[in-house]
Amino acid sequence: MDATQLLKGVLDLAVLAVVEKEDGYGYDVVRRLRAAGLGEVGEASVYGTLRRLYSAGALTSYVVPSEEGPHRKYYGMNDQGRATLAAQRKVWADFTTTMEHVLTGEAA
Amino acid sequence: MTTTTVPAQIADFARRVRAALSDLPAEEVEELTDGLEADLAEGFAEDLRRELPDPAAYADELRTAAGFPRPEPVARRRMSPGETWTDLVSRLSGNPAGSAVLDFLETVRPVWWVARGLVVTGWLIILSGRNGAPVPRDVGEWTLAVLLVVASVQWSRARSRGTWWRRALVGANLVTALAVVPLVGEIAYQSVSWDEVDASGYAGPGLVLDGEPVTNVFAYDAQGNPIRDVQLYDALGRPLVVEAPQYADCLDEACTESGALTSRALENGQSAWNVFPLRLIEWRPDEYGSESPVVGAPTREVDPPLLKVPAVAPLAPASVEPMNPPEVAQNNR
Repeated sequence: MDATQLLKGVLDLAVLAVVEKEDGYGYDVVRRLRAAGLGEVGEASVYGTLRRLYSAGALTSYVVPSEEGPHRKYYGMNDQGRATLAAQRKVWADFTTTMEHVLTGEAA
Repeated sequence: MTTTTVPAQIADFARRVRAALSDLPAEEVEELTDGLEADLAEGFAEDLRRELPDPAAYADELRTAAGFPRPEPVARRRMSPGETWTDLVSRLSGNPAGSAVLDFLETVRPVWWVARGLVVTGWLIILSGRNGAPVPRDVGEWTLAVLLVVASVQWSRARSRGTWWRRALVGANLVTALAVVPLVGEIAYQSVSWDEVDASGYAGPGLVLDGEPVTNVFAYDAQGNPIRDVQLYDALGRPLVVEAPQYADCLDEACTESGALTSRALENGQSAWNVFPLRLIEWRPDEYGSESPVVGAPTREVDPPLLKVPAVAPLAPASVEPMNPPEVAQNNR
């Protein structure tokens, strides 16, 4: 088991949490995830996840043109995203509590 | 952070990623890769040593994370030889250099048709057991060559006779192309071996009798006894030499070792091929696998074909009897 495999299951949650704090474009989200300690996160995975959450209606998106280079695509939070994030936080919290119990041998 | 214009390698990388996603609807690809250059450029600018990943793997990761299906297995299934070929040709024609090469090959294609006929001719000559380089020599072989070349050209000109015909053509082309290698080797060998004969210090074509090369010369004295170490010259003072100085023979009765005729050293240090009868020297494969004389090995005398020939009659004013040495010699064997 490695962290990369675990991350796949919770990448949506991590991305939503990062974008909730502040709107961000693809590489910006990657950088913030890495700074938070998720060093193994794959860029393409993050970009794909952003795109999927946007398609699912959990994120808004807007393009910021650049004078000197290619434009950036920013993602931001909306109500549905916040609801999804809240629901996933709950799932995560329950899951980690359960896992703690399993690992320490205490009854749930 | 200021984004400047995208480096060429990043633009190229993004193009390849889009190509790897091309099985998806165009608008999906556009959505999925919108802003890709900016993101890549920024990551790249942050860490200059960073290497761009494999575009196909990157595209795969991108599409999986975005929840798109992987490309249809149809697109990834192993291509048949014909499809591989078509695919290769279409890739080649996609760039200027490749299409120039294809144009050229298309133009010289008839050359191959002719060559194919000649290759088959060469092989038929080899299979017929004829000695010498497998190139047409006489009228019969030239006729065969012309017929085969015409057949080969006609065969390729007759197009679209169904898959069976095309497969036979591809198969025949492959076999012929492979058959070129040993054929060229044989021709090269046949021509090089004569050059080596010349390079070994041998002065020319040498003595020929009735169209056959003379391999050795045996001298007999006036009494008809064989004599050794006779130096022979022609009317111009040129040394008389035989055509095949490397003529091989057995060194012993059982023929366990073979030898070749060798030159003789002269008192002045030069070596001469005109001292007859030529002697045999042991002949072994050297470290490169080619046979060559064993340096310093003792030479052996070659047995004369006739132990004794008739003595020469003394000169007399009335003696006008015509000479016919070969017949007389054979009668006396």
